[in-house]
Amino acid sequence: MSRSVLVVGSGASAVHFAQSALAKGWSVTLLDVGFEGPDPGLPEAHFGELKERLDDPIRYLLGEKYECTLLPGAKGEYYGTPPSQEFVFRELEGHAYAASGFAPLFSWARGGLARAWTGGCYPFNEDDLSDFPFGYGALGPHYSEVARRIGISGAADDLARFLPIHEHLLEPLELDEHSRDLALAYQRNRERINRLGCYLGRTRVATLTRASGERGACTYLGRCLWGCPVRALYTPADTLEELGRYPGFAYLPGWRVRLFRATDGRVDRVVAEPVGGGAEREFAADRFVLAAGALGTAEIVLRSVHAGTGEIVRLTGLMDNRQVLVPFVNLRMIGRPFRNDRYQYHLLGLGLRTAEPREYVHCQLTTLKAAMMHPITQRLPFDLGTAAAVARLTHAALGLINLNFHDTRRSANHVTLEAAEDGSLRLAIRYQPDAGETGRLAQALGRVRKALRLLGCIVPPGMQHVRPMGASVHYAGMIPMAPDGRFTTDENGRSRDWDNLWIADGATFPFLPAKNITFTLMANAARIADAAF
Amino acid sequence: MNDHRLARECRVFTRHLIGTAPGEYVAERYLDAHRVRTDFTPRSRFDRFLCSFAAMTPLAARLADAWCAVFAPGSVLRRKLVLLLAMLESCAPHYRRLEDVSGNRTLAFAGLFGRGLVAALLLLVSVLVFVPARIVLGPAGAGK
Repeated sequence: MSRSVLVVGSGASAVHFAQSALAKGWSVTLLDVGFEGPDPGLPEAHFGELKERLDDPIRYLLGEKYECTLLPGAKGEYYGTPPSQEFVFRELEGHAYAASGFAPLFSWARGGLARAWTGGCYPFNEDDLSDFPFGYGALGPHYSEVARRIGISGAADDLARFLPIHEHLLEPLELDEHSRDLALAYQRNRERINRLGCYLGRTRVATLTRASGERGACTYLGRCLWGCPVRALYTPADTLEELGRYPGFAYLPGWRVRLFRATDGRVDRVVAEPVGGGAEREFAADRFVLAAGALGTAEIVLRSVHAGTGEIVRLTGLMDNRQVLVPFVNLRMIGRPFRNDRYQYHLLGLGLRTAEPREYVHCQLTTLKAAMMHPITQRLPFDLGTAAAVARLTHAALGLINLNFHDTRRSANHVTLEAAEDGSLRLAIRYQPDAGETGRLAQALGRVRKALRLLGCIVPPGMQHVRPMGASVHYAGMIPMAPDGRFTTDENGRSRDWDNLWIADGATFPFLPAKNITFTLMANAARIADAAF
Repeated sequence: MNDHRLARECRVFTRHLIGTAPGEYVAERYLDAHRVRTDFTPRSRFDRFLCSFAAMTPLAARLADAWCAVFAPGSVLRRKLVLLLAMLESCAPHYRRLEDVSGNRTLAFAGLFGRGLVAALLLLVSVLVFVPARIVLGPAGAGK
C-alpha cells in the first residue's frame, strides 16, 4: 500500500489533513513558501504597557515607514494589518494576478491566512451542508476532534440554534465591561429582539481559556491584533509545530509549488521553485494533496492543465462572504472608563434567522478596547482636537458589527489564466455579485439597526462600510464536491481528473454559508484524511 | 520644509491635539515620517497656506483643522494631524491623555455638548477666514 503523501500549503486545511494522515501512519511532506513573522516579545505586557516599555513603540504600532497610519483619503477599511502581522500578506516576488470585482488576499505565510484571523469557529449545520454530499453526521465528529486539538471556547446559548454544539467546547472567555453590558441588555429585551429574528450569544473562538500543551490560556493582554504572545489564540502554525514530533513528517519551507505533472491521469510530481530564485525542483510522492487555499489550489490546477495540454481552462463558482461593517455607540457606556487589558476580538455574536435557512446572516460584535483610535477619530466631522476628546469620552461605548452574508456558486464568477504584459501567464479572477444582493444587505442592515436600538445603541449615520468582495478571505467553490463533471471531486475531495490527487481546502465547497469557514476547512480536511487515507 | 520648521509645527499641532508639548521622541518620529513619506508635501497654494496658517499657534491650527474636517478632509494639513495623532496614541506619556476619563457620565455628556457647540462656532469662524483664502488661492490639492 502507498504510504507517502505530499501536501501543498501549511494553512488550516493542510495541517489538519497532515495531522490526521500522520496519525494513520502516513509519511507526510508539507511544501510551503513559509514566510515567518517577528516574535511578539514581552509576553506579560498588556497593550498599554507596550507603549510604555518598548524602545520604539511608534515603529512597533505604526510600522517602519508609518504605513499603518490610516491617513485621510485611504479608501475603505477601518483598519489595516498591524506591522507585526504584515508577514501574513507579504507579497511573493513573481506572483502576478489580475482581478475584477474582487480584491483577493494571498498569504504565503507559515500557517497561511489564519495567522491573522480573529478565531471565529462556526460549525456548519444541516442547512449549511444541504449542497454538500454529506451531512452534519459525517462532519460533526471532526469538528469535535479539531476542537480537541486547537481549543475552542464558547457556550450553548441562543446562538446554538445556528451553531451546532460539538464536543470539547471550553468555557467562554471573560466578557469585557461593554460586552457584558450588551449581554445584559439582550436579556432584558430578549423577546423583542427575538421577534426581529435576531439572537445574541457568545461567539465561538479558537482561544484557550485553559492552558494546553505549550499554549497558555488567554491572559487578556489586549494584544490580539498584534499577535498573541502566549499563543492562546490558535493559528495553524501551532499545529505545524506539533506535527514536527511525528517521525514521518517533513516540513519544507522556501518552495512555491507552481504546478504538477501527470501521466495517464495520475500525478507523478509537483514542480516547485525556490523562494528568492534558483532552479526549479520536482517532488515525487504516492499521493498528492492540494491545500494551498482555494485560490492557490485553483492556480496550481490551472497551470498544471496548461503545462500538460496547452489548454487554458476556466474554473467557475468562486465564492466569498460579503461583509458589511457597522460601527455603533452604546449610550450607556458613554463617559465610562475603559480598559485595554481585555480580549480585543469579538466575544458576542448576533444571528439573523432568515426565511430560507441557508441565507442565515452571522454577525460578530466587537467592542473597542485596544484598537487604535485614529482611524475612527478622523471620521468625526470636527477638528481633530475636538474629535480626539469626543473619541476619549466615547471610547468605552464604541463597537463594530461585522455582518457576514452567504454566497453561492455562479458561473460568471471564475478564475482562469491570462497573458500578462510581459507574455507570462497570470491568474485572472472575475467576480460579480448576484442581482439580489443589494436588497438582501439592506434588509439585514435594517434588522441589525433595530436590534441595536433595542440594545441601547445607535448607529452613526454614514459610517457603515460594505467591504469589497475578497476582503473576508473565505474563498471557496472552484473545484466542488459534485456527483460528476470535469474539475470536480468526489465526496472525499478526490479529484475526478487525477486519480491520486486530493483537494482538502475550500475549493471543494459547493456552498458558502455566512460563517467563517476556517473551522469547517479544518474539520473537512481531517474528515478527508480519515475517509480516504 | 526644514527640520526647524517641522519641529515647531509638531509642537504647535501637539498642543492643538492634546494640549501639551510633544516629547523629543515624538518630535523625532514626526520629522522622520516627513523624510520617508511623500504624503505630507503640499500640493497646492491653498494647501501650503493652510499648513503655514495652522503652524502659527494652536488656535490657528484648530481653526484650520475645523475647516479641513468638513471641507478638505484629504488635505495635507489633515494628513499631518492624523499622523501626529496616531503617533501620540502610540506612546507614553501622550496616549494617556487620549484615554483618561473621569467616569462621570453627566460630565461626559456635558463635555460632549460643550465641545460640539465650540466646534460648531469654530467651523463658522473658519468659513469666514478660509472661504476668501480659497477663492484667492484655489482649492486644496489642486494646482501649484
